[in-house]
Amino acid sequence: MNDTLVSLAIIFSQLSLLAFGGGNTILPEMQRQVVEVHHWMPASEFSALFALAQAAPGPT
Amino acid sequence: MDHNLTSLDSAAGPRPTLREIFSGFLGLGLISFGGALPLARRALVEQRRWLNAEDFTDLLGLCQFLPGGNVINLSVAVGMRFRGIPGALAGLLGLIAGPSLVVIGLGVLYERTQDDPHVRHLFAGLAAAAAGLLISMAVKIVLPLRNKPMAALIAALGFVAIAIMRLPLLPTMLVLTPLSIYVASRSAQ
Repeated sequence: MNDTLVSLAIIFSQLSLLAFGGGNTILPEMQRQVVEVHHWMPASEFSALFALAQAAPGPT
Repeated sequence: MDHNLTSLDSAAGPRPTLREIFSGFLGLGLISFGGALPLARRALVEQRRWLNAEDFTDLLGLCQFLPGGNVINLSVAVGMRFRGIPGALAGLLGLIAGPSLVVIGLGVLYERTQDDPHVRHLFAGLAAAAAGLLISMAVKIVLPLRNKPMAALIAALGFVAIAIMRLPLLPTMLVLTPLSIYVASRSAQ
């Protein structure tokens, strides 16, 4: 559980440092890390969660 | 002095307090569906008058140049400008507090109900719409490149590397960014 938290923190701090031009630029890399590298969820669930984040208010 | 609208100090309204910065960005976060930038301009320049139009454009340019979400950077920059580091924290926390709670709530709801076929259909539809929005944005960004073959080539290389070859973002950027800057500087001469 803690390992997951640590990798989440590391991955997303790297992503935010790479996000030149806004959050959408790191979307493919986020998907690659979450779905293909770490297998935390299938691609369909990533799409669903992205849609959820888009539908909710606030910065994506 | 009070009537001098062009001076830096009085160009915008009075200097907002920490509480005002927090609540201002909290409101902005909660009403900004599908991107907060146009709303941010209206809230900061026209309604609250914290910044004049020029200052807003300058700060936004800085925030777009720096990595990270543009509006998130903007909340930090605006808070920092008026109240230093506490102001930056107030802006950032205000902006993300509301949406974070909403997304966590929706996420819990999704976890509990994702096996329901109706919910699955709902999310399949939402995901399709979100993908469509992304594609339309990509098309808008790519269209101005149609008369610049070298820039279009770099964009195409980026697409192949990320979308087809599934290469990691960092090495792709480290190769393509210098290349792109070189091409742009050559074509500017």
